[in-house]
Amino acid sequence: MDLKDKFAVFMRQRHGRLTHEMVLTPGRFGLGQTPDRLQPDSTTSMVCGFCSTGCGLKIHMKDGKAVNLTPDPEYPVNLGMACPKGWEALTPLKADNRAVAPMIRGEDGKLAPVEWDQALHLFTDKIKATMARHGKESVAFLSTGQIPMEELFLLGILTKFGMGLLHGDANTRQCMATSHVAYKQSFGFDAPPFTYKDYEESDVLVFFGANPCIAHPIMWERVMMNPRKPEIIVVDPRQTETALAATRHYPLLPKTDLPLLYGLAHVLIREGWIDQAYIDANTTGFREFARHVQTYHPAAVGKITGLGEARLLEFARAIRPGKRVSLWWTMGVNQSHEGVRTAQAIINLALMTGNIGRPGTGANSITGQVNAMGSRLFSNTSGLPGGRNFQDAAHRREVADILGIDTDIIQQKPGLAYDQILTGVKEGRIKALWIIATNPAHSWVDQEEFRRAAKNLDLLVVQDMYHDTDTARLAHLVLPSACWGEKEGVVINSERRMGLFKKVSPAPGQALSDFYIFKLIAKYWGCDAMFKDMDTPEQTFQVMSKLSVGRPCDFSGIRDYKMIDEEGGIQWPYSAAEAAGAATGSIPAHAGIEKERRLFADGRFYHPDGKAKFQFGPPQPIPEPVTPEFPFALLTGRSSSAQWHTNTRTGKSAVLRKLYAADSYVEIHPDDASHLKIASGDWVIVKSLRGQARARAAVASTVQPGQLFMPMHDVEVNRLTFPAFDTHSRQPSYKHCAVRVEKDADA
Amino acid sequence: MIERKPDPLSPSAPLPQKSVQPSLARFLGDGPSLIGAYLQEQQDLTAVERFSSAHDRMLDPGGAPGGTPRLQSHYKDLLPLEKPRPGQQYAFEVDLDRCTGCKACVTACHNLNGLDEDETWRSVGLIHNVIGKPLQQTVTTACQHCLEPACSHGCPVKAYEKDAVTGIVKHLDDQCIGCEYCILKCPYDVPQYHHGKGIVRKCDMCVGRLEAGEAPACVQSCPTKAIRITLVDLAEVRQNYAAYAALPGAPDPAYTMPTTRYRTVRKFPDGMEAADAYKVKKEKAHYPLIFMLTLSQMAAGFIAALEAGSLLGWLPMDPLFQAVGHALAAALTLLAIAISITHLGRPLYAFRAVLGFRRSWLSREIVAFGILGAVATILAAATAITALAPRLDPASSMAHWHPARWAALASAPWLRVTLALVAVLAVHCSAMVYRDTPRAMWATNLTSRKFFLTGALTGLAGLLLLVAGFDASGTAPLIGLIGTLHHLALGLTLALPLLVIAKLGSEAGIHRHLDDQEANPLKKAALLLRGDLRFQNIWRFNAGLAGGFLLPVLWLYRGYAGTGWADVAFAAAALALLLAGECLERYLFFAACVPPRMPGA
Repeated sequence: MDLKDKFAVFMRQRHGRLTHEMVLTPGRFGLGQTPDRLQPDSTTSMVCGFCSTGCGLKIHMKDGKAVNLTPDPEYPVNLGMACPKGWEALTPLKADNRAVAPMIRGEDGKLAPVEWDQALHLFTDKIKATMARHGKESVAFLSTGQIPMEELFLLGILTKFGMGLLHGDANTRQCMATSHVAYKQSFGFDAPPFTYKDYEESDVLVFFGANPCIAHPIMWERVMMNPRKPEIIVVDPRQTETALAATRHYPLLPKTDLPLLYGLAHVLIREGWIDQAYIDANTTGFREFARHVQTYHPAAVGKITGLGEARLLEFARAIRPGKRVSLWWTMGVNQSHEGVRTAQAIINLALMTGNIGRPGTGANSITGQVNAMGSRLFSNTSGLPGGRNFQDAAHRREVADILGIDTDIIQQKPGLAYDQILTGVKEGRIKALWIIATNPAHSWVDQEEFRRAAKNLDLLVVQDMYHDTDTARLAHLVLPSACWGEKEGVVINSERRMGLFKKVSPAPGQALSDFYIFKLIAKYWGCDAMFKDMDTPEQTFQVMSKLSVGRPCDFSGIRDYKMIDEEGGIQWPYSAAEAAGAATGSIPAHAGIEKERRLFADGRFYHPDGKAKFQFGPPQPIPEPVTPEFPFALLTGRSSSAQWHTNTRTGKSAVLRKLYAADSYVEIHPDDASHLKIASGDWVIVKSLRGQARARAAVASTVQPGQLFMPMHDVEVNRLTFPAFDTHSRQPSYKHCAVRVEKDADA
Repeated sequence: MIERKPDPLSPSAPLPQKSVQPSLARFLGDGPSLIGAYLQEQQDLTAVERFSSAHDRMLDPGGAPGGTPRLQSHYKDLLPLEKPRPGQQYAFEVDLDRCTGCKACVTACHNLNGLDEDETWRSVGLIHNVIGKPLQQTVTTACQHCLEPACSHGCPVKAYEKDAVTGIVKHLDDQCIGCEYCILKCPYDVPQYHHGKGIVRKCDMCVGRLEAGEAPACVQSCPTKAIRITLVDLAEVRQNYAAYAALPGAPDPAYTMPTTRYRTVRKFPDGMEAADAYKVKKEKAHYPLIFMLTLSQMAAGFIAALEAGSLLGWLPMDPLFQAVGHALAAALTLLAIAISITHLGRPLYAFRAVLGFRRSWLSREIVAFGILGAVATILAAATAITALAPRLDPASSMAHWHPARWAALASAPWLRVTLALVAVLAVHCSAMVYRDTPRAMWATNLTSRKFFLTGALTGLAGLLLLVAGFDASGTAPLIGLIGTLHHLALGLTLALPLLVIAKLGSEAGIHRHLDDQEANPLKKAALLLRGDLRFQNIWRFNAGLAGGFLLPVLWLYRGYAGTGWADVAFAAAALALLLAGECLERYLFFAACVPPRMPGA
């Protein structure tokens, strides 16, 4: 280069260090172009660790460690797509507030790091002492739907069979208990019947209290792939993103979904828009149900729901037999004081129109957490492993035999539900509480109640990946967990697909996988002999596989983790017989594993008589109706696809933080706003009988007059919510409480 | 998951399986040794050995490229079939009816381009209809790859290039000096400043991917296929520019001729607006620019006054007075230049700023102040030597400096006229830097008025201090045409209140926009001045009034006494207050200037 050229480059530099940092190079492994400095030397796929969609993520590995990820194009769930949480899944692992050592709260009230040995001694000594003094029922645990099923299973049997606790529940009580009970009572087993392909194969999709555009964007991807130009109906008081994308929106008044569903059933029966042959062959209880809905005249229901008779009739016409109708629900239904009956009313619609067991049909519960299904089947909390019942002696014997334990160890009825455990804490009956991977100090309905109760505890142990969650701040002992990406295990998604978590990133400091922590506790407790066959998650999986044999969720055909990995996840049931090529149940004989499998093609359900049952009951009054003093109904829900639950993980990503509102906000209708002289952006105070929250007003006609909406991800929201529970599922009703709103005078 | 079909070209022997047998300690040891074993196993990453796809290993021996991207079938219909022909360019097209606001595009762009932790090149906003039929629409936006890219036109170092074939507006990262002017120029908030690297970076439509036949990150990651790349005809865009980036609340497309087309079958009602239309937030203050602008304008004002006064004979031509005056002029100018350099992310490359002279007002500003600094320094040297020469021993080395020639230079009217003109021109360039942006608060002649008045006010106050100083020190004979220094100081003191009233009056005008119906940038600026910036705004006016009005009027009322150092103290106080007021004004100039933006950007 001569001097002139050098000068030219000096003045106008096209290449150099900064340019090179952004260079893309042809990616290997079918990735397409990838940033040169993040070029992987291998890839491996695993399931995302946030929601129950269960997307496959291709982890880019360099020197054995994860450096980046892209959604897996071959995974049958997400087909190469992911929502922002999935794209950013590796970022929360690197947060600087990871718990890196066990911590004990000292005399000074501060958490100080200690050695594992000391922490485990403290844990076992204190809990043993508490149980010795106050009995077995004085200690309880609260776990999660966020960890693999081997860990949930180990926790369940460690606590109940090894340590002898009676009470333990999981945060799945807050999201999926209603669906669990509804399916169990209607189908005879907790079995979501669908596969995601049903989104693509429906003529009519009805979403009840579900906002997949925001809550499950990848499921919405599948809806958008539907080539049948489907009618999409959204039933939601709020005009959600999904309601806007739908072809029809029914903005019913809050908590009038059960009358609406009974009204629809009434019209369908009256008009003869039912599949009598299917009803006769495959169900019981229809006649009683028909009698029950006789009084739900469209005119009256139109009034109760605020939709009017004409729209009700139009709705019924849209779902009458002749088309493939799929009915979907999620938290709008589940988190209700009468969620079980509402979910069952949806199931009833599917049964009476014969919309089940065929492509593009079904009464389908969209799950919340990544492993809520695994928790429902194997956590040993509300039921024995494999969807068995504590009350059933035969079930107890099966479990005891497989685990090689004494049947008498097994309690004969389920322990207390989440809210009952907290009542126990409040009343001083429960003295020690062990919380694993959940954050009730934020998420529990009427959060202050939890915080007050926690003060009664002699010992609060919080096992989490972060040492500063709202709940960990209250703990006496913090146990540091390795998280998604740092450990192995199987999770089950909404469509019953078992997928893998893998270990692709080293855990920070002394953090250990929950599996190892439970094993250590077993060792220090002195009951480790009971778990000698469960030395690794994969060995534990094999034990669980044995427990599944003969159950509706039989997955004994799955050889090992490698098979799950190779197949891109496997939906249960997949029995050993099926794996051998035989026809089983509703699945015809075939070679290889079908990628998309749905239940009930043969019309056989899991009740002893093989039939599905119509379940119903009268609607209950709204637990906390609005009053002149608290004239607004507060609705809660997800507000962005970039946030997950209490935001402990998603809040650690700078990019995700950019994608949601920085301040808490409350949506208010323009009429109400102008009446209260509130403008968009103003700080307001929302008050209920239980507490108050400060938020910015977002004036929008997405909510109806008299209603407010606040995102659940903000910690303030559950200061307001009302602690009402579904009588059947004990699931809290987050979606309706009475509040008032006023301008914040101090702003 | 594992690729089960072996690649016929590669040996498909699987790697030996790594043993995952648990250690002995797990069976035999006590608690602490089990803890040790688990801690060790926890750090042992096995995913690659156990699961990483056989495919990976087969393709990898020589690091060969991995063939067709697996996502290609997803996006192949989202790319144009051909390369752009002459008269065409690539453009984003967004199908609003398919966008549901999942924001995957933002994170995919972040990941697939390896952006830094909080860096994003795409954003998703929301427009809605508050009154009437409820309607809301999420909107994804990235660089518009404009026909008239304002970023490029404003760049002083030519760090932007609009590709002749693809039309992609590309940023040359290594050329960038980090002046951030493109950020002020772009109406779409596209260039993003990177603090660690001291440069801006932006969307390049994944040009490397397009060249390889792959889709840009946002296109390939959209679960609902809402974003695609199309070819647009340049003539069509120019003619029909209002149809591009056409969204309620979007900036005026006439400014840059953006190319992104938003399609929808819906008809947006009139009341549709950005959901964040009412959000007001302080803008970045740019402290070096605040001080640079204030000081450089003081320098220019001081120079203009000094030279005009000297040429007209109103100021003494006394060598010492001239030497001190010019030394101050040069020092102020150079200080302002030095401060301006601290504003840059990569100050070492500031010299490149001459490249953009033909198009960029920032480049012109930099050149003008460079010349001003040089000429002011020459004149300062000339006047200094002239002042010093008579006091020197003829035998000293300075005698060889040809003091006579310097004296001729020091008194050359052409040089002084040049200096004064450059000073005025430089301030004009400064004003044009801001006027030539799409920001409503800056893009008027009010900016020029503010800058020149700042120059006049602080320049004259500086001159007053100089005059008062000489007056106090009693150095004789210091008499200009209009009388004694005393009279001169009186005249200067009289000018200050008039100037300050004119300036504050101009500034206060913005408050009338509080009554505007719609949430335009000027209304938002006014809201900020009444809201978050209230404190600074009040003190800006207080300082201006105190230094430019109260103090001078009091002083005049009391009668400018010619009592030496008290007068100097008065002049110094007035100048200090005025400078503080002007710095605050300049702070508000940046902090209250609400830029146009795409919804939610």
